Amino acid sequence: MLAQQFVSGIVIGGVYALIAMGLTLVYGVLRILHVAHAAVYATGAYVGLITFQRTDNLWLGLAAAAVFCGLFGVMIHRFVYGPLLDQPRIVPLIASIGLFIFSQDFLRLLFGPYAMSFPASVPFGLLELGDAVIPGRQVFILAVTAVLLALTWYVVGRTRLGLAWTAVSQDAETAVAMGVNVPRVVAFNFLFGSSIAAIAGILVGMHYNSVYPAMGEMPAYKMLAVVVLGGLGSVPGTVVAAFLLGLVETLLVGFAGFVLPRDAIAFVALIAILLLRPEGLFGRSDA
Amino acid sequence: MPLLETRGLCKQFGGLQAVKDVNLRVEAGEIVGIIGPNGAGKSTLFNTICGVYRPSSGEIWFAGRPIHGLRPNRIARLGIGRTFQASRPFQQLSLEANVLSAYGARFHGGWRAMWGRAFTPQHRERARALLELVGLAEHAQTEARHLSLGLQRRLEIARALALEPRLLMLDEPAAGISHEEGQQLMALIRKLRDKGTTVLLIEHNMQMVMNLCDRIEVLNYGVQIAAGTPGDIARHPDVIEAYLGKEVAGA
Repeated sequence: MLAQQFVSGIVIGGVYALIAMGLTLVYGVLRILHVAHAAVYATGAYVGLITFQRTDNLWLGLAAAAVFCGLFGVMIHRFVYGPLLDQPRIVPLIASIGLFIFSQDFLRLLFGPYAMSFPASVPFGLLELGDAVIPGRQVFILAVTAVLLALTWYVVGRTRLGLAWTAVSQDAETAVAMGVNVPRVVAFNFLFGSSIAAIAGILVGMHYNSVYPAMGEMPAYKMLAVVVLGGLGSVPGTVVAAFLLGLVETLLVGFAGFVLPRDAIAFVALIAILLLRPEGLFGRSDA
Repeated sequence: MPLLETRGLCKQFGGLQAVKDVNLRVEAGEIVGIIGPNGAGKSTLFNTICGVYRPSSGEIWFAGRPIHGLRPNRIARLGIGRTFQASRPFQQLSLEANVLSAYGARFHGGWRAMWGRAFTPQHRERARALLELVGLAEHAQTEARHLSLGLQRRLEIARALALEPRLLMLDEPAAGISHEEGQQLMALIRKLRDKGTTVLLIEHNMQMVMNLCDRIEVLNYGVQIAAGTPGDIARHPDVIEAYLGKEVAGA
């Protein structure tokens, strides 16, 4: 059972990492808390589900969601945050919350307030790893997550885009003087982070076999906890914090007969980290 | 044709005329110094040339084309590399990555180019050569924040050189560094000029300016009050007054 719970925690943690990555990327370059990112995630689940229903092809669903939401993210930057960047940071934050609420209700209007099932079959069977028997869906989620996290690592750590992103996040003004096209770097960030969040939306929809308009609500808060825990703007910190949260949630709830509801753990952790180590696990106190 | 030329360049902040009708000419291969008391508008002039500020009026020509109104990243890629008054390396990047951040920028043109690898063997070789030039090659993998101020300034020069600039603009490169580091810096700047880089620098260290520069421009209250060889400038009555006027008056 322990191994089973462990795998389950890894699955959840990986998905948290995918969702929170976009938030971290955006915070790194713009210093905006991109709450509406959770709406991108929910939209991705719907685009994936609808495409899947029409075509019966899960891969097509993943691709359609990634492309649609990537563009959605770029538009958010262009039309919502872009004009507000000169304002105090509270202004884009409020705009972001507004966009999040709007998008959620827009999904409700389009698709109804009900949960829709996501009956995708995956190209994996049961996987037995010692004590753990992992259902094919979880294998699929793990595989996709692993590929996307590896891709993120490559893009952030190895490409010109990633180097430019790191430079911009440390000192945007200097990066410009070194020839970096900052608006383009930021646009790429939104494209990349939003595509990944869209795929995370599909994975979660499959995991719980349910897609509903408010599915972004809990991730909206949790990704906040994850990025704060990881040290705002730190990519490795985000990944570690996400897995930590996924594992702690799953193991505590599964075993210890924990008194708090599962979703409360993230927020207890958030409060604790803000009190004890406000710079996060991987943040620098000077940042 | 001068490499860099400003024509009637003005920059105003609200009611403050920080740069007023400046006509600057820098010929290719020169080392030109800009001096002037604090608040004379030197850094504003720099930032206006580099595109950080838009000129209020006037024109800036570089290598035969107007660059006023272009964004700073475009100007950088046209071949103007710069350093900052307060040394500003990317603190949490290795020296190599610092240099490559600017080197890679030349390839940031297309959407596809950005997905290319930043640390190819050729790029790293090039970064190494530039770090070698400023004497930092053995620290290539160190994070910039571990360097002393003097070394950070040299790193900034290496990073600016990664743009393969025709014009290198140095904003107070000797501020806060030791005499010995200053001597090394001067040798480095001369070496760069000999390799064909034109240098425009702001500096308060008079000994350095007088020794290093072919020509000197003097600003006061945003206005050019004198220009000429170091010898001319040292004897120029307006310059002496601008620098010593208050003390003389108060004495």
